[in-house]
Amino acid sequence: MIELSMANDSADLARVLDEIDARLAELPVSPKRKYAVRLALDELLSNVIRYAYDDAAAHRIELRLDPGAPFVLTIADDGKPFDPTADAPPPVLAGPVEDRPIGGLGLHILKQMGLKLAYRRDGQHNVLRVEFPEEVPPCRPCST
Amino acid sequence: MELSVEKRNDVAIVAAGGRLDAGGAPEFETRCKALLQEGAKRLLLDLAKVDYVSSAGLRSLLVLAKAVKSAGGAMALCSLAPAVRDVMTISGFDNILPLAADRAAALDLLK
Repeated sequence: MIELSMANDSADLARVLDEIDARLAELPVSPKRKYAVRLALDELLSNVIRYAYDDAAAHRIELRLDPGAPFVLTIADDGKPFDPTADAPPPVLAGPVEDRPIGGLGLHILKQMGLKLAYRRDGQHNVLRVEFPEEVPPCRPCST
Repeated sequence: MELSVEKRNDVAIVAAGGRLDAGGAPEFETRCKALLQEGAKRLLLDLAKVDYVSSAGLRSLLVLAKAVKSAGGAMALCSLAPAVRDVMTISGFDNILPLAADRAAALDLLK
């Protein structure tokens, strides 16, 4: 189990992403899953940092990564209630370049990669559970 | 983010390396916009050494694609790693930006 705590700023997010990379390097985790883990943390925590807080105070965001089966990431923040599984507008994926809106793709990419997001409000906290898809084929002793 | 620029006639070739994310994308976008302002009409982005793209990177690519289009130019990407290509396809970027296998193919598309 990997447990980390971070501040709600982008510099600390960069530190956490690198630390998770380093921790996953010690585990039999495929490159594809490593990419998905970085992307999930990057997109979901960027959203929390950008939108969850109305004040200028420092907040703690708690992370837990269970690298078992299922492989699950949990993010808890004390920001205002936000359910990314329900509140995000649908992405625009077609049409000419001039009509494409800037942004709004992060959650879409995660869902398309097969990540399952489940949200709950627990007291003063948003708790987001992210389950990663099973590895196919399973990563049996990763020798390389 | 590693960036190097090479000019071939009026095509500016930008070879990027590293992560096209919230950390790397601003520098990448600024450098490419400067090339457009200097008169490059056609932009070839060689992403062979880019191993990670997030929505922040997609944002920059879209900003550049819009700038190129409004200037009457053209832009192509080449040599994408499979994981990076997947993100582009999932986001519907493959139908607004040509994704070429290599530089030669991309240069052909930009002719």
